[in-house]
Formats: sequence, C-alpha cells, structure tokens
Amino acid sequence: MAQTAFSLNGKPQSVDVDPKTPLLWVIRDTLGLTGTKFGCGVSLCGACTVHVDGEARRSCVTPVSAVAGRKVTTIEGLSQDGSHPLQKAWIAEQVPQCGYCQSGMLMTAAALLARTPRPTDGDIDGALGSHICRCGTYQRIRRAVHRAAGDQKAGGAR
Amino acid sequence: MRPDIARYGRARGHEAATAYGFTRRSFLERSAGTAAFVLAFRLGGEAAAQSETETTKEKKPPNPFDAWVRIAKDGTATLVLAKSEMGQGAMTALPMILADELDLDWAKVRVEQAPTNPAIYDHGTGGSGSIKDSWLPLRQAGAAARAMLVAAAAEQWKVDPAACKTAKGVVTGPGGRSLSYGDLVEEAAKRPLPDFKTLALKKDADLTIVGTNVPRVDIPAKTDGRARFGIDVRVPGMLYAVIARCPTIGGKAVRFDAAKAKAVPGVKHVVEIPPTGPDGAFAPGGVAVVAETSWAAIQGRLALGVEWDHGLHVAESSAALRQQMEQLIAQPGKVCRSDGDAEAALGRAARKVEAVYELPFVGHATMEPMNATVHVKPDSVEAWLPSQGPQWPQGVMAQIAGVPPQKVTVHTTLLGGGFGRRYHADFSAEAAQVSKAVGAPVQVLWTREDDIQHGFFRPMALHRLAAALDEKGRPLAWHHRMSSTSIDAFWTPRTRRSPSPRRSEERSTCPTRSPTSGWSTPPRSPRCPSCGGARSSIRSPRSSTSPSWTSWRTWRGPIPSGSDSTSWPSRGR
Repeated sequence: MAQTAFSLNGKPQSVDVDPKTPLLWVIRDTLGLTGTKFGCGVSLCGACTVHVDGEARRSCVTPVSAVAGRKVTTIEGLSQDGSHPLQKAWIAEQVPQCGYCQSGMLMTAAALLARTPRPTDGDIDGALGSHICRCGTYQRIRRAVHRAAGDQKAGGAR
Repeated sequence: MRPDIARYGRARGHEAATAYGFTRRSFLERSAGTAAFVLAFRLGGEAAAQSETETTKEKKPPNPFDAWVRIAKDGTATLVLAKSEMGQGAMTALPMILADELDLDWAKVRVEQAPTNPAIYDHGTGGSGSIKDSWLPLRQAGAAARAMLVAAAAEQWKVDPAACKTAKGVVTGPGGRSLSYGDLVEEAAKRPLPDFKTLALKKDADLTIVGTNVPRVDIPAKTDGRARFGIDVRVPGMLYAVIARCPTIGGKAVRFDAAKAKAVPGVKHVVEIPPTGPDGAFAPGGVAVVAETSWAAIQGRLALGVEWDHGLHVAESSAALRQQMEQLIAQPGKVCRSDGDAEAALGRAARKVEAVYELPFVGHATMEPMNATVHVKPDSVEAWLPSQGPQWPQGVMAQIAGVPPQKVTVHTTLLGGGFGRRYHADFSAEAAQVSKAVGAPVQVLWTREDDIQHGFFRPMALHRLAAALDEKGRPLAWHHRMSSTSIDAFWTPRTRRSPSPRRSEERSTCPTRSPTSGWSTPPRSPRCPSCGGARSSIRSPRSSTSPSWTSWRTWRGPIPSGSDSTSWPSRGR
C-alpha cells in the first residue's frame, strides 16, 4: 500500500492502494465511479478507456502508480452535463444498444477529435478499430463521430 | 411431466398456438418450469412449488394502476417494464405499446423496472419474444386503464363514457370540457376492472406512438456514465468476490492455500461453496475469495494455488466429442420426420449433393461479464441482477438462503448483453452462497477468463445432409442426420437425450416442397452437460446449418423459375 495522488475529473484525489493496482479498479471500486467498464482486463476490448493527460489509455492495464501527478478523465468528466459534441451526437444517432462498451468508445473518440478535428473514416477506424462492441454499433459510431466533427453530410468525410 | 404446450398457451390467455403449436415464449416458460421442477426434487421446498403453480395457472389480470402505470397529479406517467433491457430496446418499445393504448403524452412518460413478481409479470426476456408476447397483455392493460379513466370522468360529468375521447393524457367530454389523467387517476383506480375479453383495442390507424421512431429512453444515460449495469451496483458494506472454479466440469477442489490468499492486502474471506443444481449443472461451486475490491479478490484467487480433483470428465475434449459424434451419426437414429422413402429416392437420383456441417461450441461473451450482487439477510434476500429471467434466480436464491421466494427481492439492472447466457442462475446462486457465508452483501464478478471457460455454450454439432436432385436441379429428397451436445441435458442431466427429436418444430424447418425427406438424430447425445441456448433458443445446433443447406448456392443448381422459386427454398436465397 502507498499513497498515490492524481487529478480525477478535475478534482485532486489520493488513494492508499497497492501501486500496481490497475487504475480501472481504483476508479470503480475505491473511488466509486462506475462509468468506466471492466470488459477483459487485458487491454483487448477498450471498455475501460479513460484519458490520462488527454490521451486515451486502457485503465485495466495502467497501474495507478503510472498516473501519479497526472490528470485522469473518465466518462463522468467528459462534460459537466452531457454537452460534449460526441455525447450529443451519440444521442442524435441513437448509437448505444446494450451500451456497455460506449464509455470507452466515447473516450477514445474524444481523444481522436481533440487531435484530429475532421477525421476521415480511416482515422475513425484507426482509433476505434481496436474497441469491441458486441451489439455491432460500429456504423452508428462512425456516423456519430462525423456528426460531432461538424460534418452533417451522411457518411461524412472520406 | 411437461405441461401440454397448446393448453398451456391458451391458459395464459395468449395465442400461443402457432402452426406447430410451439412458441419461443412457451419454451422459455416451460424451461423455467422444468428448472423449478428439478429443484423441487433435488432441494425440496416451496420456491419450486410456487413457481410451478404460478406458471401453469391462469393469471388474473391485475389492476393496471397497481401493476403497470402510476400517474402523478402533474400527468407524469411511470410505466412499468417487466422485461430486461439488454440492448434490444425493450425499455422503450414496450412502454410505447402501453402508452399508445392508454393515450398518454409520451413526453411525460417515465420507465421503471418491474419488481420480480412472477404472479403478475412474465419476466423472461429472450427468444426474440418480448414484443410479440407483450403486445396483447400491454395493450389490454392500457385499454383497461384508459376505460377506467374515461369512466371516472363520465361519472363526474354525468355523461355517457362513449361520448368521451382521450388524447395525450387528457379526457375530453361533450361541450369540450376536459380533465387530465392526473386529476382522474385516484377515482379511476378504484373502479372495477373492465372485462378483458370485450375490451376494445385501438384500430391500427389510430395508433399514434407505435410505428413511430421514438428515441430510446435508455440512451442518454449510456453516454455519460450514469447507466447502471449489474456490475455497477454499489451497496453500503459490500464486498467483492471472484471464484476459483474447477477447469473441468464436475471436478472439485482438493487443496488450496486460504492463508496465502488472505495475505493479499484487502482480502477478507476465503470460502468454499458447493455445487448447485442436479449434478452441479446450475453452478459448479468452487473457492470464493472475498475482498474489499475486485482487484484484491482477483489477486487473492491467484494466490490460492488450488489443487483440483478433475472428476469424471477429465478426458472430455472437443476432439473426443467430435469422435463420439462421428460414431453416433453413422448409426441409424430416432426418426424425427419421414415423408416417403428418402433413402430410396437418393439411391436412384440423377444427381446427389452431400454435405457435412460442423458447428463448434460458441461462448456468449457478453460485453459485461457475468456478475451478481446479493445480500442474504437472516430472513430475506436482496439481489441486484443483470438477468434475462429474474424469477428463476429468485427461486434458486430462496433455496440457498432458506427463505420463501416472496422474501427475495430482485432488482433487475441493465444488462451489458444477454444472448441467452443471462437466463442462467449460476452467477446469482454463487453470490447468494458467498453472501450467506460471509454475512455481507457480495458482488461476485466473473473475469473474462471465467466467462470463456465456464459458460453455457451453444452446442457443438455435426450434421450430415444429402439431397437427391432431378435433372433441372430441383430437390427430390432430403436426408438429414445430426448429432449435437444437448441443451436438454442441462435440464435433465442424467438422461442425455438427443436434441429435440420430439419437438415438432423440427418439421417446420424442413421445406415443404421436398417430396421426400428424412430427419434423424442418434439415440443419445454425447455427454456434455454445460450447454445453453444462444440467440436461437432450441434451434442452436441447427440455426446455421439449415439456412446454408437450403441456399441454392449449396446445390450449385440453376435457380428455378415459376412458383417453385418462392417455395423452395422456403424464402429467398
């Protein structure tokens, strides 16, 4: 056990856990924010994706010690009130079905848009292709990312 | 031993009889009934007896204002959802049906998950049956509630109810006077229930919500982290557990190092739990590591160093099963269907097509791994379950806790996928066992490895098919022999019955224009107790074989013209 301090959704946090504990379980079980999901535990599905200093990171394989002194953002911190363009686009395109993978999808998409404001299908596939959605919402995800990027044309940029 | 299906359907007041007298719904209900029956024998107790009675006797329709809808003064209507939301949209679609018949203002509709009460609700969610099976009961409930609201308004105005109209949560009477549902509901709920047999339902043309594209009510919470799945349940004082289960079916732990597991920071308890169900078919039991966090429990389990007695099935493997199937399929079996003499027709055919289909085991792999949060208290149980059929775990947990099922409260959460896997009660049973052992609310978590290793897999199957074709490539005979691990064996493990020979559904899937056909299965199934439905209910072993076989591509023949093309293959290509 050791104290690890970091910023979570803009607020300072300090936890007394084994420094090797994956950030996922610190967020979910120790700090009680359950929007970040456990899917595989081995960085294969993307459901646990959060931002660390703005970059998409798979929290299930990120030891909490690796985020000491850094800024962590979870789905709960993506916006104050669901007003992030991606969240609005996700509703407009009716993206989620079961919804379990969608926190991770949104966090990776948000990191993508921050870096690439007008992504192509290829950019989207490159960023989100390693996320798994068991319901198969991939087409709507792509449309919603284009919509959020401000491209209202069906199908978006190519 | 099994209830008569056609009678069963009528008794429930639904049109259960299809062309082959069998519906998915009745299968699921029957499965639940069978499970209860098995339990009654193995464990004894009233849970099973209660479920059996409740599923077979006719349900009296409840007062819709008790069971289905609460209307507040301001007109906000809370509709009750008795099916599980797992991505298929039940949480929106079913309330739409109810709201439409009741003439509610959709903008003022809220949705609430039903309490688990098999006496009132049909909770089972699967087999693509939610809309089909809820359509009539929900419309009747809505129409009854609407009639009661209208009657309350008509009485107040001293007018004929037939002179009143409803729309968007308001009753309008002669002369344009109006009252909102919120003002009428108190009186309306006290009125006698209309006769459901004579209750008029809306004409299709009068439906205003059904058939429109309504945004799903569950989506906003799925974009900002608010949506609560089973795995997200947090209860004061709860502990987290993972379970070491024997990698082979039917095995058990011989030795493990509880002290080493407890030495992991955060680990509080190590408890052994016994198998549940006949031959451990419901849940295999194992060694539970209970901790302050999921991660500590996972680390504790790694430290257990369990030594297993692998039991009787240690030599079982996919290769061994395949070998059994090959041997079984070579023998004549139980004939499921026989029209004419297919073998003779094949013998003299101008052209013959043969194919072997092999289907592997398939795991459900829901995105949200199995989990259950259960608190076994001295005289009651409270559970939070991502379940497709919470009435079954309700009974199983009652048995484990030693309380009547009425004392088991189940909160159905959102499900991160189901696909048939979440019909099973294993994960709920385990959580009840562990909670009872440690005296605290416990969330049992399955890791992805647990999920892949200990699922109830879509059965492995081997099919051998042959068809005789005439000179134009049209079918003269079809011969189909299959062997499959059995889903039925899960419910009655000792019998190892062949897959569904008696189920007349088999007949319906054979195209009708084939002059001769034979369908048979071996007299028994290979032993493999851990199978379950997967998105195709009892059709699992055949669900991809028959469509592929009936595709013209398989036959490499010309597509016939005329009427044959619409009836053979049965639909399109």
